[in-house]
Amino acid sequence: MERVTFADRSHFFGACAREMRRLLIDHARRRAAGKRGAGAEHVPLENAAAAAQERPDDLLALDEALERLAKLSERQARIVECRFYAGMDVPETAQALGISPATVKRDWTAARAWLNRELSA
Amino acid sequence: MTSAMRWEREQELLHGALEQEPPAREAWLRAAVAGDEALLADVTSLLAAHQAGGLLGEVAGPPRLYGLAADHVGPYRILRPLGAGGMGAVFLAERTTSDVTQVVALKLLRADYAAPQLMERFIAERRILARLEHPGIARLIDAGQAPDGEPYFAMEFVEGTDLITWARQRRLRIDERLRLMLAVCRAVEYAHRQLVVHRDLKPSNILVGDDGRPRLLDFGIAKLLEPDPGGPAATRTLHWLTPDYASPEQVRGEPVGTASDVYSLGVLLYELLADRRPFELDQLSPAAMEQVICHVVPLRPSERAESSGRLLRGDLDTIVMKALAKEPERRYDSVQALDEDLRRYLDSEPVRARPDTLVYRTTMFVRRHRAAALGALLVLASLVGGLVAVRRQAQEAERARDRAEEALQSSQQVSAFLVDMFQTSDARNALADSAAPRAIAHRGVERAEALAAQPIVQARILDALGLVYIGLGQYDTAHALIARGLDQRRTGLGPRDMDVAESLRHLARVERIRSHYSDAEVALREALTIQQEVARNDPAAEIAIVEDLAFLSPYLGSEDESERYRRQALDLTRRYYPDDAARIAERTIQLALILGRRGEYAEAARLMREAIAARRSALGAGAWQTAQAMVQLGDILHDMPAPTAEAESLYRQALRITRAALGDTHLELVHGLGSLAELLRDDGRYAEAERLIRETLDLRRRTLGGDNPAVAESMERLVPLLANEGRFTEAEQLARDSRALWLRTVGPEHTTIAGNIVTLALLRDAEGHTVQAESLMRQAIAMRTRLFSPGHVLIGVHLSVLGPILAREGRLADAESTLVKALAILRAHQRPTHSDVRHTHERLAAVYAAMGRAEDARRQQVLAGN
Repeated sequence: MERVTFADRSHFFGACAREMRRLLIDHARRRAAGKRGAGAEHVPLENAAAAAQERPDDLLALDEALERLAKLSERQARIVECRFYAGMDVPETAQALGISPATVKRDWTAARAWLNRELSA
Repeated sequence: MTSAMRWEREQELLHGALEQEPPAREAWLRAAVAGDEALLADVTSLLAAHQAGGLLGEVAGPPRLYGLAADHVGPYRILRPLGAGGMGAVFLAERTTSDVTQVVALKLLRADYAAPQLMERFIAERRILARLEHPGIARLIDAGQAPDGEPYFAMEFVEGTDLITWARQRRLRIDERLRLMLAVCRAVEYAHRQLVVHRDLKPSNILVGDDGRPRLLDFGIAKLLEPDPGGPAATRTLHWLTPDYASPEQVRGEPVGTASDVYSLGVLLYELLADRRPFELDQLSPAAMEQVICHVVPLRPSERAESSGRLLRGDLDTIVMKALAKEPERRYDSVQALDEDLRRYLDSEPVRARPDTLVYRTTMFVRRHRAAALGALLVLASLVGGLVAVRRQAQEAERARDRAEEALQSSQQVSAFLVDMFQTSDARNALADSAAPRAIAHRGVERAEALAAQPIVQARILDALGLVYIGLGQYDTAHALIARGLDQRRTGLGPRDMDVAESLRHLARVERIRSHYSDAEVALREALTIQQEVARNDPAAEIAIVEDLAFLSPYLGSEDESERYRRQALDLTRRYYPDDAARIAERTIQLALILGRRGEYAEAARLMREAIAARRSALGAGAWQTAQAMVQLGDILHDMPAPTAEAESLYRQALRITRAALGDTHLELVHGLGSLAELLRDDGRYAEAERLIRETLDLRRRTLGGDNPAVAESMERLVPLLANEGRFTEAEQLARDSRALWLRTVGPEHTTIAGNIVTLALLRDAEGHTVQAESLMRQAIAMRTRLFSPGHVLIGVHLSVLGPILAREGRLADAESTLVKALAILRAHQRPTHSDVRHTHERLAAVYAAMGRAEDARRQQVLAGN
C-alpha cells in the first residue's frame, strides 16, 4: 500500500473511452429489454451512440465479441473502445493509448475484420 | 500455439494480403500459408469480413439491405455504403464508360417510392436538375430504376462533414458561422434563379469539405418524391421529411416555394448560432409537431444559446426570427434578401429586418389560432421547461417505467455529452498540455449543470466526471461530484438500487484516497448489502465490492481482513465463473499479493506462478497481463529471505514483453521499471537504477501531466537512490518538490505526506543528522497513528526504522524498546518470514551487540533466519 499507483490506471482518455463503452452498453441493454419492432436494416453502425439507440442487440453482441477480442489482444480491444465508443480518430487514439498512429491503423483494420467475422458467423 | 499467437499470425497474413492488388490476394495467401488449409480458410474469411464490413462499417460491400444481392445497380458498381436516411441508403459507386471511370454517390430509394408515375416525373425533372451547375451544389448526374424497381439517383460524390457538426467541431466563431451560411445562401439563390427549390434543406444535405466550402446535396429531389398536389390529403404526410427543418406550409401539405427554403435556412442559421434547434420535436406526436411548427413562435436564439447569447441579441435575433416567420409573406422575400442582411451585419451596417413587437407576436398567435392556442401554449411551456413538467406527471403514474424511459431518452444526451467532451478537446495537444484534460472536465461539469431537469442522467454524468477527477488528482472535486450523484440517485431511485451501490463504491474509492477510511468502509458495506439484497444476479458487482473491501482493509489496520476478503473474492469467482481462467487468474494474483505482503512468500509465489501460467495460455506469452504477473512474482521473490537471480530476469523479461505489446511510452511499464530499479539499488547498481526511475518519472509526466500525484511518487523514489550516492542536494530538492505536489493534491494530513516525511527522515539520517531524522520519524508516526491506528502495520515498519536512528544517537535502551515494540506490531500482521520482521530482528541483534548482550544478539540473529 506504500506504492501509489492509483493515478497510473486512470489514464485520462482511456478511462473515458471505457466509461463511454460502459454507459452505452448499459443503455443498449435497457433498450434491448424494451425494444419496439425489430429494425430490419443492417446498415453499418456509424457510431456507438446511434447503435445503442437504434440497434441495441447488435451493440450487445459487439460488446461480447469485444470481450473475446480483448483476450487475443488487449490493445486492439482498447483501440476499438477509443475509436468506436469514444469516437476518437487515429491520432487521438494513438495519443490516448500511448502507441503509434501506424499501430492504431493496423490494429484497427485487423480488429474490425475480426469483429465483423465474429459477428457474421 | 496459443489463440493469441494464432491471431498474430492471421493478422500478419491479413495485412500481407491487403498489400496485394485485389485479384492477386488469393494466390498470395495460398502461397503464404504453405498448405495450412485451416489457416487459409480463417484468413480468407477474415479478408472477406474486412471487405464486407458489417457492424463496424467503413469498409463494406454490396447493399444487402434493400434486397439487392448484386453489387451493381444499373450501370453502377457499388463500392461501399455512405449512410442511410429516411428515404433510403446512399452508396459510393462507380461507372465505367469507354475508359472514363466516374465515382458517384448513389442514392437508392426505398421500394415504397417506386410508384409507376414517379419514373415519369423523374424523366421530366431530371433534365432541369442536371442543368444546375454551381460550385456549391452537388450535380445530379443520373436517375433511374434498379432491376427490382427501386429508384436511384446518381449524384456527384462530395466528401465532407455536415454543416452543424463542422461548425461545432471546429468551434467556429459567430462570424465564421455566418460566412459559412452566406456560402450556403449563395448556392440556394442560384438554384432559385433556375426555378429549382430545394425543399429539404438540413445539415445532412449540406456538407463542408476540407477546404471549408459547403456543398448542397439532393437539390430538387424532394419535389420528385412529393405526392401529387391533387392527391388525397391523407397521403400528403411527408413521412421522410425531417420535421425540424420543415416550414409550416410544408408541414400542412400546402404548395411550397422559395419561401420554404428561406424558412429552412432560418432553422439552420438558428442552429448554427444557438447550437440548438428552435424546437425540440423528438418527443412529440405528429399532431403536436404540426401544432408547434405552425403556431409556436420559438424563443430567440440569444435566449437559447448557452454561451454566446450576448453576441446574438439584437440584429442576429431579428434576422433569424424574420426568416422563421410563420407566414411566408412575413419572411425575407428571397434568399438574396436574407443573404444581404447577413452581409450587412458582418459589415456592421444596419440590417433591414425589424424586430416583431411582442404585441404582434402575441396577438398574431392568439388571433389566428384562438382554439389551438391553449394546447400550443402547453406545448410551448413543456418545450421551455425541457419537457420536465409533462414527464413528471407521467412519472407519478408509472414511476418505474418512466425511470427507464428517462434513462433511455437521455442516454443519447449522455453519450453526446461524452463524445462532445472528446471532440471539443484539442486531443492532439491534450496530453502534452496537462491543463487540457482539466479544462475538458471542467466544461463537462458546466454542461452537467444544464441537465438539472433530468436528475438521474445528471447523476450518472456527475458520477462519471467524479472518476475523471480522481484520475486528474483533484480529489475534493471528485468527492463533491460523486456525493452529489449519489444523493440524486438515492432521491430518484430509492436507497436500494444498483446505481446507488455503484455510486457508493466510487464514493468509497475517493474517500479512501482522501484518508477517510471509515467513511469508505461504511459506503462499501452499504453497497455490499444492496448488492446482496437487490441484485443477487450480478456476481461481478458483488465480487468487485468484496475486492474493494480487501483493498481498503489494510488502511483500516487489518491485513488479516484483507486476506480474508481476497480469499472470499477468489471463492466467489471460482463459483460463478468456473470456466473463466482469466478472471480466476486475476483474483489469484490479488490473493498472492496480500500473502506476499504478509510474508507468506512460498504460497504467494506458488499462486503467482499458477496465475502466470493461466494468463499465458489464455492471453498468450506476449500479453502485457502475463508480463504484469511476472513483475509481481519478481516482487515476491525479491522480498524472500534468500534472493535468487530469478527476480531480475523476470523483471527484464516482463519489461521486454510490455514494451513489445504496448510500446515504450505506456504507463504499464512503471511498475516493472520501479521494481527492477529497487532490486538494482539493493545490489548497488545505482546508475542503472536511477536511469530506470527517471524513465518512470518522464513517462508519468508526459502521460499524466506534471501535476499528477503519481509524478510525486516517482520523484520520491529517486530520493533514497540519490542519497545512497551522497547526492544530498539533488535528493533534498526532489523531496521538497514531491512534497509540494502531494500537498497540492491530497492536503497536509495524508498517508502519502507521512510517507514523504519518512523519505526526508531517511535522507537526514544518510546525511548524518540523526536528531532531525528522529524528529521527522516521530512526526510521521504521529500522523499515521492519527490516520490509521497505533497498532497499524506501518507503525511497526516505522518503529523498526526509528530503532537504528536512536541507536546511532547512542540511546541504546530507547532503541531496544522501540524495536521490541515494532516486532510486536509487525508480528500481529506478518508471518515470521516477512522481510520486515527479519530486518527488525537483525536491527535488534545489532543493538544487543552494542549493549554487550551477546546471547540476546545471537537469539535475534537466529530469529532473523541467519
